[in-house]
Amino acid sequence: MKKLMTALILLLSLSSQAALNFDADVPAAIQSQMVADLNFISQLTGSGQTPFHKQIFTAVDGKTYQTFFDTRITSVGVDSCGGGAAVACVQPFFDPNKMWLTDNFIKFSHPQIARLMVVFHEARHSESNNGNWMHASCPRPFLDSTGKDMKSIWTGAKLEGQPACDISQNGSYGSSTIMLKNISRYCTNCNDKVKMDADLYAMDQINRISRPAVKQAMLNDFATP
Amino acid sequence: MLIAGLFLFKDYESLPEQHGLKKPSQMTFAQSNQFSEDFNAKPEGASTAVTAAPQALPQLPENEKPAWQALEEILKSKNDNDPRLDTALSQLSAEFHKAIYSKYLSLKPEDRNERGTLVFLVARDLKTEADIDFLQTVYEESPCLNMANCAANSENDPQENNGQQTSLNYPQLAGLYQVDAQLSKRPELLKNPQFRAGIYALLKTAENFPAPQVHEKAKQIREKYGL
Ligand SMILES: [Zn+2]
Repeated sequence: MKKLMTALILLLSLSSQAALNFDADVPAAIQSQMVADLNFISQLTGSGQTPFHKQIFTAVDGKTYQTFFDTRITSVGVDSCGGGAAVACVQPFFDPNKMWLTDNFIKFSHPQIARLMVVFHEARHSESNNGNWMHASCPRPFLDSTGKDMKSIWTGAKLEGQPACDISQNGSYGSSTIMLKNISRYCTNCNDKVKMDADLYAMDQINRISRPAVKQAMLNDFATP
Repeated sequence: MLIAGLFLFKDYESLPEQHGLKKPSQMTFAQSNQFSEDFNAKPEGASTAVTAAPQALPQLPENEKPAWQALEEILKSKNDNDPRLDTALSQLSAEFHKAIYSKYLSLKPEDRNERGTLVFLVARDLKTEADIDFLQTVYEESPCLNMANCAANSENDPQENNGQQTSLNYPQLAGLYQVDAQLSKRPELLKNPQFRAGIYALLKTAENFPAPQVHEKAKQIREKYGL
């Protein structure tokens, strides 16, 4: 009986996730991982937020995050997204409300927070009324806090000049950084690992904010008492 | 990331019926205006890493067997927010820690999240020199170069390697994050000269890890605690 109740509760909570239309060819394992990840985020509760988070998301709250996602992405397909190691993509000029996931979404062992970071980053790109938050070219030179070139750690490829930066805290990198940092600080039903992961990935993503003043404003925002 | 220039925008707007139903990969580069997010390096190329060996159930006190069962379930589930990580798996015996060290080695190097979860558990419950020795080995590993195959060099697209560094270095970063948190919460740990020396050696090893992200964090922690 207890198991039956648990199953019913699980079923109800999954169905509370607004219907996301998966194309017929999306493998079941990708669908179930996406549904599980969105289900996790939709149940999150929070005890506060920073001003930047309030401007973009309004609250550290599962239903709010769910609405944010559902009002931007309505269908999901599967594709290689140009090959390589892409995990997800959107094509804002064809169908801004469709997200494409690749096999890498389940093939690679990323923390759940990292998968969510990517899908919320992509969802932000669907905002046609905001120019899809196109990335900015990273400046030349693009240096880290110690004065060294920002580069891909393994290939050594420099990020300077690549369209891999944001100049505003409201873009895809900025908004997902703000979301994760707030989850790390304010989530009340996240365990230690999730809060740690949210912090780790937020502090990775903030490095894509190429304007020092904007980056500093974000750090100030994160330090909000 | 593949993004065509904005000048293509109007052409596409006028031709939705010709392009709208296509998948991103069915378009040429010039047609594409996709935003794609690469976590990491190329996925092709089968991993040559050692496959996880089946592991016998570890010898554990009877009262900790359910916790081990919980750990196995969590590692399989990909549900990182399992509350048992903070309850059943928070105060663990030395035997349990020892079982975690073995479990870590039984996992493939590419199991970044699972390996990181085990490092997180040990570092959050940092108690003994054996824990420090285990963590030392994590920083003595060869760095993981590619999520599909840790040993293969990657051909990263630097434009959208969204979170890749953190996933590749996840076990190492999770360890440092928790060591920092524990030294902050339990400053008495550093009052034991032997333990202090162990932490110092651990951080020095982590500083030699050939990924700047790990190196910088280890140095920062060492300096923060005057080590
Ligand atoms: Zn993007």
